[in-house]
Amino acid sequence: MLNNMMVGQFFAADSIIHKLDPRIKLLLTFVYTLLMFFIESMFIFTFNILAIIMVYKLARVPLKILIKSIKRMLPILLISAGINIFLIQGETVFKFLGINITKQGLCMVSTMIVRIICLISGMLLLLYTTSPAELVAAIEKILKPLKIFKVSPEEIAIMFSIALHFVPVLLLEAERIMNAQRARGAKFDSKHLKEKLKAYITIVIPLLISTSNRANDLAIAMESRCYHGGENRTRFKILHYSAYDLYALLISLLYVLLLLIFNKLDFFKIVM
Amino acid sequence: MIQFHNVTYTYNFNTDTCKDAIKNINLKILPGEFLAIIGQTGSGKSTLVEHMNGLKKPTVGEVFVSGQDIWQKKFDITKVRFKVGLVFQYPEHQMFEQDVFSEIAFGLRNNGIAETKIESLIFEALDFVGLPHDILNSSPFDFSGGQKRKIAIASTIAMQPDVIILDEPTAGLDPYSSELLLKKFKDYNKNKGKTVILVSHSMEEVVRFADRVIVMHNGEIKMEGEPRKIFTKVEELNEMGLDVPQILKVFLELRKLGFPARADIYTVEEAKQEFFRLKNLTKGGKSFVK
Ligand SMILES: Nc1ncnc2c1ncn2[C@@H]1O[C@H](COP(=O)(O)OP(=O)(O)OP(=O)(O)O)[C@@H](O)[C@H]1O
Ligand SMILES: [Mg+2]
Repeated sequence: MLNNMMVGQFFAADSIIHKLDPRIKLLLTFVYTLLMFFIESMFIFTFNILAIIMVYKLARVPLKILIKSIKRMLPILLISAGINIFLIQGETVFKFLGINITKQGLCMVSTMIVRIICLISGMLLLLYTTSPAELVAAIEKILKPLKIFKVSPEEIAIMFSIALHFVPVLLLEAERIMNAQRARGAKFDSKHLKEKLKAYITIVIPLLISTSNRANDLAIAMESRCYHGGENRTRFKILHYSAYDLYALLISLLYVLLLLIFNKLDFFKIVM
Repeated sequence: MIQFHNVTYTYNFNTDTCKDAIKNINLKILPGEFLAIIGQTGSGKSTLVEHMNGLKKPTVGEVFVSGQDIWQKKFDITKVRFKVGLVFQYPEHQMFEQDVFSEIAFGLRNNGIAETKIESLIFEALDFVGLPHDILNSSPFDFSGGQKRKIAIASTIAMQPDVIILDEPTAGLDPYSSELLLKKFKDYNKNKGKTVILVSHSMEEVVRFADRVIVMHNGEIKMEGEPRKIFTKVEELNEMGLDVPQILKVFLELRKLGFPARADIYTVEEAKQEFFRLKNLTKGGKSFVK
């Protein structure tokens, strides 16, 4: 049951997108996210979705797993759409449960859904094509300027990577403890809320204890191997920019400009 | 008592990392027997025993407890959990209560046992694992690893299950405590007529305590029978990455050197007698070494 929640998003494949420098990918994802908030026309969104599908093909990530992830978000999407659709004033199209459904409302909600789907697909592409280790290395590089404020980017990075590594470990541990308590008759599937909560506490406490023990052990193990972040520490994965990164930057720049210009031209809005 | 009918279990079913941990298992466990399960690391022993009290649901096949299919609709699976107690590998990781008393009482309370009866059951369980009665008010976290293990075992034994499954209960215990504990389980089996299932990596434990042993390899039951019969198949066992009791190896080596030693020596006591026999044989001044 807990296996479904596994966060291991990374999808290993041999593609140009996988080979791009993680810093570039992080930057591009950021720009792309901003861009999505500027676009209003449904036509451009459709165009954008086609572009995304092309990039997924280029990255050799099957669309199937993207669709699966989007499906999982669907309930949240629908709830927020449902709330919005009732709240927006304007020309009434039809009545539903005594509330006016307006043309503007429909327009706005459909744009919102498409926008969110575009956002999710973009961010997931980053996670699918960048291994956690690369991501952490990129974050570390990007946080470098924070050194001025006495914040150590190395320490933030190592914390990130430890957290990422331990998520599956802790999930397995939680499942094991759950089974152990079940064997002693804990009622996880009870219909009484109180009994159910009580049963879950029997997981939380052992899990907290084992986590803190594990953290302690890890700290001791790191220290006994003379770990220290920062100064003079060389790394296993050294980030290099390549020609591909430059091409990616240029193509993305063109793409951003293209979308922004299209967005300015009212022509496309009329088409919609 | 417990019966497996063509049971297969697949981890991560329907994903690309799926893997059959146990395959097509047919098994009948009789009431009152002491059964040992041996096998290499990763051979599926833990997966197999977790089916016995309904913690895992077979991907294919059925599991019967006391003649009833435990996964049929409307069957109350928690009843099986009280009938079949399972002590996990490293059970000390499951503790959460503030004092030892509540920790041991957890299963009993879940089972709806009256508070008045709980106390005597807990004392009995403490005696079983050999812990003093005055620890009941201390926190279960204030004990050593081995002591915690005993408390955790007590919390299962207090429920007095008809079947008790022990998944490597003695890993990390001192030899004296593990010996004592296993003897207690043997008593539980002999005197109370309860079924005991022991997963173990120690061939010595198996040969001394079990009535029957099953050998797991790559998720399948490869051999089963009396321990003494199984351990005569040294080569087959070695092929599966398993060993025979240490003492037996000594006598097998002696035979290779030409001594007329018996090849069925499993315990220290038997070894002692065999050595005396061999000594008496050599008294006549003849040497057996070629
Ligand atoms: N949570 C899990 N997810 C995926 N596969 C698993 C999981 N647990 C076990 N397996 C697989 O199932 C197989 C059997 O595991 P199992 O824990 O039953 O072995 P075992 O015989 O108990 O080993 P050990 O002697 O180390 O306790 C292993 O090969 C392992 O790869
Ligand atoms: Mg195991």
